[in-house]
Amino acid sequence: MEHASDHWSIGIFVAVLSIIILYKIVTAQRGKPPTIRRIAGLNAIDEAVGRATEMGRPILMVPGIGGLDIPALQALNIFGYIGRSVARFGNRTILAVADPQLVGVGEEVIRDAYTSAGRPELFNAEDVRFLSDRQFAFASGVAGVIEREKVAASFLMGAFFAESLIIAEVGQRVGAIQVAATNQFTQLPFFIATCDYVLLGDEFYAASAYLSKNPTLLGSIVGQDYAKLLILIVVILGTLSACGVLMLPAGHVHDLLQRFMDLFKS
Amino acid sequence: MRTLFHSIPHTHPLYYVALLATVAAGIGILALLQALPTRLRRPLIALVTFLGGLYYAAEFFIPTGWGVHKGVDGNFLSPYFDKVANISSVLGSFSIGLGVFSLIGMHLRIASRRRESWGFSLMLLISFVAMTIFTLLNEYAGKSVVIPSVAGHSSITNHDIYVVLFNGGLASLDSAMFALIGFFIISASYRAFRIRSVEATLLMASAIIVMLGQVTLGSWLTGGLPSHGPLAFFRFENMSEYILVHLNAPAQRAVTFGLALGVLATSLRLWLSLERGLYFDQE
Repeated sequence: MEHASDHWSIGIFVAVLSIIILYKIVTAQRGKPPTIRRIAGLNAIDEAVGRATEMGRPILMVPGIGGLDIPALQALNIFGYIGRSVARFGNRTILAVADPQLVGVGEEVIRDAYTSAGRPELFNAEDVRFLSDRQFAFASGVAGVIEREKVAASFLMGAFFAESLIIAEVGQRVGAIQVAATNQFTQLPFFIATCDYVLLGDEFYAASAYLSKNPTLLGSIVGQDYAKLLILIVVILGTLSACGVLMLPAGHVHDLLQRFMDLFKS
Repeated sequence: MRTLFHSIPHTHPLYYVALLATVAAGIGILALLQALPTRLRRPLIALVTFLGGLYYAAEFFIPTGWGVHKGVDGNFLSPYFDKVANISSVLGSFSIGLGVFSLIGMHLRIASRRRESWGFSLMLLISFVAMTIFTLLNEYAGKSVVIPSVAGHSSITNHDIYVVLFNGGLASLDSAMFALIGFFIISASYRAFRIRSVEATLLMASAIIVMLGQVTLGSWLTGGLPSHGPLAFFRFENMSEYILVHLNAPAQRAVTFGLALGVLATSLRLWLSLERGLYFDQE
């Protein structure tokens, strides 16, 4: 087990990043909520939902195969907003999950979406489906749902691994509009090749803030940006220190630069 | 509770009675929580979430050696790490029943009402029952239970059927699905590499360089170039390494930084219930 005292500088750095994020959340809640830049993939949601309704086909959402973790909760968060849009159009939402723990949470999220859109009668618990917790059995299950239901749009968000390409390619074959986001950067190239829109990196975590315009979430995004700025400063200082250590002769400055670099060595 | 289970032998009926009573108590507690009004449930969930997160945060930030004897790893909270982790495992195991219930319920309805593709649902139900029976037999009844045959004498054991179901069925189907990725890569890369824009051209060029840099054909094609000096850079293996180490790795690290901060921010919001408006109602 790792502890902050094993490397105090890293522990303190994590604490500072947390304080920055919390401070920006609190200031956004009390003051004017900040605005964030346009994210193309999220602007396409209404277009995808509208197209699906015109075609009379359902919308598929998959929160990855990672279980009840932060990426899956974030995905369900986004699906809640998409679900509301789908419910307003009076269309069907199919949620396919690979972890039994997500069945209950997913059902709540989609039911809430239909209820808050004023269409609770359209919610069908059968459309929240646990397919399998085995990677490729789940992939074939999702592929089967896409083929049988001829989904018009699919939202693939969460932790995806080797099954990402199977699911996205089958979606591509039935002509579905596909929006993907994952925390697994090894799967990003597959999604870029097969999906219409891909949320890169932390855009995935910015999505719920962008869609809801909720001050807490917007403040969190601004806090993350300030934290990134701090990381960038440390990276630049680290690069300069590494150059200095290589070029400068032994002495006080050399030792100081070396000590700064050691602070962030894991 | 743990001591109670340890004191009863696994073969004693009391063990199973205690096990069933514990599960029933768990279901009772969950039902009680479900029956609570939302205004009471909300602060309770916030409190439990906060306490759960507080343990991990405190365990990480309290210096090692605090409240423990010399030579013992961690601090006074560390010995409870596995126990706290077990709580989430136990809660998770309750939801497995929910998942199985959802799966079986849906396919039973499809099969009984003879809806479209009902044969697949029937197949799933048969596979589910067969796999459950033979896995349980294999686990608890030993591996040499002879399965009676209609024809009379039989030498087929439960383990043989388990192996056929698991290795012959499940593992082979898994491998077949994995193998499909090869075909999908071809169709996806055909679409990605069609030169329609500057980005697609760059993608195509870098992919060709990286691919050739990994195979002997690449080394053979640029083998005539010197291995030292400025021209050495244009050998496929060196260009490939440059793309992977100097262009690809920094971009991946930048994505990782963003994702890690996203996880940190989401965790903080969930831990402190700042985001509760999204799961219960609108703020």
